[in-house]
This record gives sequence, structure tokens and C-alpha cells, in this order.
Amino acid sequence: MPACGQPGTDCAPRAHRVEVSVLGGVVGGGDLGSTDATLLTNEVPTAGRSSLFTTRSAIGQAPLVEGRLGVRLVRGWFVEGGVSYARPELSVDISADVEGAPNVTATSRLTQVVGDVGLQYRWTLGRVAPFVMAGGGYLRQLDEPRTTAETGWMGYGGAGALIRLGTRPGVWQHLAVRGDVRVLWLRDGIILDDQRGPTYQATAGLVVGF
Amino acid sequence: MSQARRVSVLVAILAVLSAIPTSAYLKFGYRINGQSVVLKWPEGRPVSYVVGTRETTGVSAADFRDTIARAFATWENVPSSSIRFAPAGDTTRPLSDNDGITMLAYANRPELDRTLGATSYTIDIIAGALLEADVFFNAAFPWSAAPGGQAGRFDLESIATHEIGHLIGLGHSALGETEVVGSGRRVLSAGAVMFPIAFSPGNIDGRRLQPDDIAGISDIYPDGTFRQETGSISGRVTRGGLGVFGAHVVAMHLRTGALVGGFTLDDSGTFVLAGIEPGPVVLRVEPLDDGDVASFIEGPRVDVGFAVAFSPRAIFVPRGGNAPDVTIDVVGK
Repeated sequence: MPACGQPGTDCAPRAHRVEVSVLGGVVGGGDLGSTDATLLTNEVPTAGRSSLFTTRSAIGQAPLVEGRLGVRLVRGWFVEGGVSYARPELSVDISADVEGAPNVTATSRLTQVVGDVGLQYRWTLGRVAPFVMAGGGYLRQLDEPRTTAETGWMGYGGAGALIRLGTRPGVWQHLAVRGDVRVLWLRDGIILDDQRGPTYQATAGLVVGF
Repeated sequence: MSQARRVSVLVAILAVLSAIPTSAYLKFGYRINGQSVVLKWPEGRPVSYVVGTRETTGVSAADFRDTIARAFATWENVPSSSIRFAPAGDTTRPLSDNDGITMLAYANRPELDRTLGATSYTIDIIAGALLEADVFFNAAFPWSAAPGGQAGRFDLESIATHEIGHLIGLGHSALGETEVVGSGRRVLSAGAVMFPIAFSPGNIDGRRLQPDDIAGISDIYPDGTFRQETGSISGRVTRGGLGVFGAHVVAMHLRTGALVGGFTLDDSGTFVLAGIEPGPVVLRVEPLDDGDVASFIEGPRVDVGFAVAFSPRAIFVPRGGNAPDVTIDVVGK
């Protein structure tokens, strides 16, 4: 077998020290819970509450773009940070109005920006490098006129793979494609009850390594 | 203060059964030189008051004094409000307007067979400040000062809390639902102490302020951080492109369920809801069709011919700012 580096040979690619990724994908939505508008009822000695109307809120799935910067620490370990941008829709289903108002879905288009930092561990299997990742970040959600912000925190864990497009010296050696799926846990932000479950994010895109 | 600068007005009646419609928290205003001025007590000193010594069956003078003090404390303890009160003793003299003394006492008014209590003001018509307010509780009704209420008797603390709301400058709230009973209305449910129709005898829930009441007093007498910690919503209610006068607009906070309301009070249908907790809200608009609107909002222009509607937008109230340009279009019933 020819030695690595000789003409016409493929080498097990060395991981780049610095990687810049441009990704696109989708971020999942989720149920934000229900809230009733209630009034005190006229009972003796103390009142109960009766519903004026009922709401159930959710954030919809939305396309997402993301930029990430990774730096190799040692062997298969990378530290990676990123910023993502998405515009999910907040929808509020309003129903059961006591005066019979028609059911309505009130909506608002949000701008959601997340900045995160995490660790990634990568196995190099030829040109394919599967990896696992975990981290956390800062969540900022702005409403439609972008005048009001809700902030919160995000934790994530996920897995994916990076495929080098070439191993020979040249441009292709610096390029790879990447895909990953993450589970996201959001805290605060536009969360209307304490029981919000996880959501997901799936992205794929191009990686440039140096 | 010269007499020429004073004017007394009778306002703010709390009824047993009433034709008064619902509305959301409302600040009393007064027009001075063409400008609308919010009625409020001068800043910098507590509102001093005396209580009458007249007793009724089941309520001694001491009970009356202590109950009134608790009702004042309920308003004073709102953390986002700066208003303070100072008891100045009791008196045997009858209630009298324009004597410079703010007084709360029983008065026997059997001819007012639907009125539990009422508040009257003396106003400095130059500056718009409140100079004096007097509250009477109608001794023709059965009253109770019992800690847990008393069946068949109106809870003095609940009614006093409502009347003190007027005393500090709040109007009636429309957060409630009523049903027609005979020639009047009975309240089915309410979302504010300042709702104009009292709960049934024995009920004591009027002792606890609701978010609409708290927003109201805090809007009139904000503490140092209230304006920065809350936000407002402004917009219009329209019908066929024209403004709706007298619509009742209620904001519900999606996280807390808190309800705070307001009115459209001009022909363009403009409303402003202030003192809203920041975050996402939805808006509901309803006509003032629960009674005689003329007894609450002056003039015949109040439009009660539209159906209840919601804003198609979920609105985010900014902390310390205003969510503007919310338009809610309604249609006829």
C-alpha cells in the first residue's frame, strides 16, 4: 500500500484545527400550555372562578439558519459555538368564550436567535466523522415589530456526522458536509407553563476547515 | 383654598342590583381649560381620613373603624403604588361635602334602595387635585364586619374596599358578567373589586384586589419603578373602518391569566391599556351591553351593537414601553 502523501493515494484525513459551518434546517415547535381567563363567581361565602375564555398557545416549527465555529482542543474533542436564527410563529387558539365569540387563532411572528457553546466528540472513520455534541446557550425571542424581547436559556444534546469532500491537497480537502440532529430544552423565553417538553433541531450544511 | 376653586360632584355608586354596565379600570378625569386632568390626591403626603361613629346592627363603631382601616391597608399595600393613608380619628358629626374633611360613615338612605355606598369628591378645579372625599355606606342595608362574612349581610370590608377605590380616583371596572333580574342586573362573576355591582350578601371576595384594580391604582399613583416594570398597549377598535366609541377592551396575560381592561373613549376608537405585566397577551373586545351605558359613559354614542371579538394578533407588551398600533375590527351582532 503506498504511503500516505504519495501521488495517487488517499490518506485518513486529519481533523482541521478550526472549522466554520454554515447550516440550514428546521427547528421544532412545541406546546406552550393553556391559560384560562377567569372571573370570580358570585358565591357565598367565597367565590370560585368561572372561565371567560380559554387559550392554548404553541410555537410552530420553522426554518432555521445557523453559523458555527469549532476549534479542535485535543484528539477528537472540539469546542464549538454557534448562532442560529429562525422565525417561528406563536399561535394562540382562543375558544369557549362565555359570550359566544367565534373561536380565533391569534398569531405573532417571532424572531428567535440562539447563541450557544458546547463540546463535540468526533470519531474519524476515513472520510466520515460521526460525532456527538452537547452544550447550552442563550435564547432571545423578539415579537413581530421586534420591539419586545423574551430571553431564556437553551440546553441541547445531539449527534451527527461530517463527511469530508476530499482528502487530497487543495480546496476540497478543506470542505465537508455536515448534518446533525439535536434535542433542545428551552427554559424561560416564551414559556407559559412549567411543563414544556423538549423540542428538536435538524440542520445540514457546508463546513470549511483550516 | 377659596370656595371658588372648589366643586363637589357625586359619583361612584356601588349597587346591589344595577343597570350600570361593565367596563374596565378607569381613572376619573376632569376637564380644566379644555385639558383632561386625572383626578388624584396631591403627592407627598398621606390622605388623611376620619370615620363616623354611627353603628348598625352587628357592626359596632370599633368594628367599623377597624374594618375601614383594613380596607385602606389593602390599597396601601399594593407594592407598585405610592399612595398612603393616615387615620385621623373618629367623629360623631354627619357626613358633609366641602368641609375639608375626608370622612367615611354610615348614612341612612332608604330611598336609595339599590345603593350600598357612594363616594363624593371636592375638587380643586384649578389644579384638578382631590381636596376631599366622603363615603357613605347605606345603613338601610344589613352589614357585617365578621372576619369570615355573614350570611344575608353585606361584607363591610368588601364594600369599603370598593368605595376607597373611588376615593383614590378609580372609576368602575367592567370586568364582569351580569344577568337580568327583574328591572336590574345581578352580577354572575367579576374580575375586579371596582366592578359596579356588589356580590351577594355573605360573600367576602371583594376584600382582595384583582390585577385590574392593582393596575389602576398603580397607574394613578405609580411607585418609582412601576412605569419601568410594566408596559402598555395602544390601538383602535374599528367597525367598518370607523372608530367604535365605548368598547370595552381587555388584555389577558398568557402566562398569568391576569386581566386588565380599558375603554375606547373617543370617536376614533382609540384605547390605551396601561400597567400591563410585560409578555404575551391577547385582547378581547366586548360591547357595554350589560346594562344602561349612559349611567357609566356619558353620551348616546356608545356602540353596543357589535359582537365580542378578539385581536387576530398575539401582542407582546414591552417592559417600560408601549405596544402600539393594535387594531381590532368588530362586526355587528
